[in-house]
Amino acid sequence: MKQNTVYNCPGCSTAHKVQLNDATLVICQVCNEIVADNVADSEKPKAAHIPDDWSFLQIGTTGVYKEYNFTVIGRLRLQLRNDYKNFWCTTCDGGKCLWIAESFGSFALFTASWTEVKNDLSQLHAGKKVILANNVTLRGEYVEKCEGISYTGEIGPWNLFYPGFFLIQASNGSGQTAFFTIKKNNRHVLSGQKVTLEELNLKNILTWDEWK
Amino acid sequence: MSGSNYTITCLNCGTVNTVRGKAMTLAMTCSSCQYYVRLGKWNTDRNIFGYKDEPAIPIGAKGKFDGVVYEVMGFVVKQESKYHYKWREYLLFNPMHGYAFLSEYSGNWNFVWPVEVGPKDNPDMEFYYEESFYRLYQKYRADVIYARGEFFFDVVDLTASTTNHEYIAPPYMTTLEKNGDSLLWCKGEYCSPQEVAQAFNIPVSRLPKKEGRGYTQPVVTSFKEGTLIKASLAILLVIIALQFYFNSSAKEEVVFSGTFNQSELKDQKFFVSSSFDLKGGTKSVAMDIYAPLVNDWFYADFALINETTGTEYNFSKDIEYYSGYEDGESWSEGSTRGEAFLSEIPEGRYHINIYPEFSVSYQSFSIRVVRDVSSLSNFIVILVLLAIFPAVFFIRKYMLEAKRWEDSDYSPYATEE
Repeated sequence: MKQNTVYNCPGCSTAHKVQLNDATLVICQVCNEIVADNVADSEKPKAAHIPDDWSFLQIGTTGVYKEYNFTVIGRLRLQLRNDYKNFWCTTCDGGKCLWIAESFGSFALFTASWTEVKNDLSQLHAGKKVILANNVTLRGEYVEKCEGISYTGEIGPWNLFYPGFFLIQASNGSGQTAFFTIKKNNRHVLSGQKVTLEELNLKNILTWDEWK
Repeated sequence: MSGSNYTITCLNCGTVNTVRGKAMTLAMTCSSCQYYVRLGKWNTDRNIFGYKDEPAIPIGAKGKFDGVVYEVMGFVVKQESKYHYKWREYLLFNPMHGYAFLSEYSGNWNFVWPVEVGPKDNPDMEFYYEESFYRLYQKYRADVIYARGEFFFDVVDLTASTTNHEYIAPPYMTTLEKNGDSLLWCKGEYCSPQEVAQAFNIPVSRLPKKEGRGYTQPVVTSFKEGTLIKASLAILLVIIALQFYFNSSAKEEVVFSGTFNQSELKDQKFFVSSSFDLKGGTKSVAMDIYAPLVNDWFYADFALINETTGTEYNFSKDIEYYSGYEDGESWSEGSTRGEAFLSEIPEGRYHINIYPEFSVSYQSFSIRVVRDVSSLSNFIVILVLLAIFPAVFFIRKYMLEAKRWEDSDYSPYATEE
């Protein structure tokens, strides 16, 4: 998918202009149909409606973190066994993909992309060490099996569109963090930094009046 | 935006339950049959509890902590596996800040929230974290024996599968919940029942009656421990400086010295010294008495008399000195010298009347009167008085801390029996 290409939704004909320069998937926000994708046949995504929850970010939310001015253009939600994880796909710098991972008030920001991991990660459990390619040492926080995956809007580079894989988060005392996805020999890592809600300077978020 | 149209049909009784936490809720109890059901795909087991309890704070109540409004989503009673004590936990939720816990044991409360960066990866018995010194208070496993409401994780299975470590630095605590699949650090802070009641806008009488001191309850004083130490040190420095000043400014002038023999007494019962002048206003006077004794004693009553006003300053002195050689070692006891210190004696002309009691062997003694002498006694008295308050403070604190740790297996105050 080329940036700025316009696709019409096969379900409702809504026009979608691709904003990322490396988009993987475009889902219609109106009717939830898959508009366009750039995914291998073995992982071809199916329409998966995002369940109703109390997330306060939304497509259209903007924010500023250091030199990054970003806008949320898509959402990928992982339902884990004892948690959930939203990966908010944002665009900045004219088409670069920047991920924000979020759940229960915990945030992490990723300017890098998913990269393949050659090492065996079978021993990576909670409390165990893992050393990234850039020699950063992290320690496992949790290992969760993905029970469900759903998405909407425009999604940047992403490999797994079916549940059943394991998601591991590992971090260190400096706030450096990484997500690992493991599905048999398919191992990928996304490394970034834990951030606070305040540091993201978010605007155009949902305000839940009952908690004011 | 608010409210929830998210519903789940109970697999046990068919009741349609509105799910307040929407898709975030992963386990809940049915409002009708009270069964605990898991909403995920991996485990569809249902539990009914053999124990029942009533939450003091109702499910759905909202309370404000540190300016953040939380809603009570769930309530559990947990039981420790080894000693079988029970406590209650409330799961709180705010969409922007996530979840937190309010735990209650014997009417003592802690507000606990997950932290992004924990104190240590492999905790020891003690560590520093966020400028506080934490000690391991308890390590335990527990089970949920009662649950009500909604949960964002399978609280029953997760509780049963984790080992918990609790470290305290009152009023703070840190907890580590750990199993092979997850590791969660939380930080907590003691809350008084009044603070909890105020947060939820409910009367404090609705909360469980507070019994004893909470294990994170701080020892409350109207001042800080550091302030007390600093203030005591400051006063000590002032006293030392004053003592140094008085020492250096004391003249220590010998105004009289003389030796007295029993043979000079004749028919008199007492000696009368020659007159001497004490000058310089009201100042101290020291008298050194020397009796050249060996294995003997000397006693006398003294009266320092102002010859103008007739005012008397009386004191007595008992001097004893014994020595010998026994079992290959020499020994001695007592002294041949004695000293009397009179702190505030006005200027004027004085003499001393001395009423001695001599032993058989020795019949003489000498006396030396020194005007304007510095004294350590006032300094020592002030030091002792100064030390009383901090000593009482720290002894009380020690006792309270020892009591706090009575229920811990890791008490630093424990003594080996």
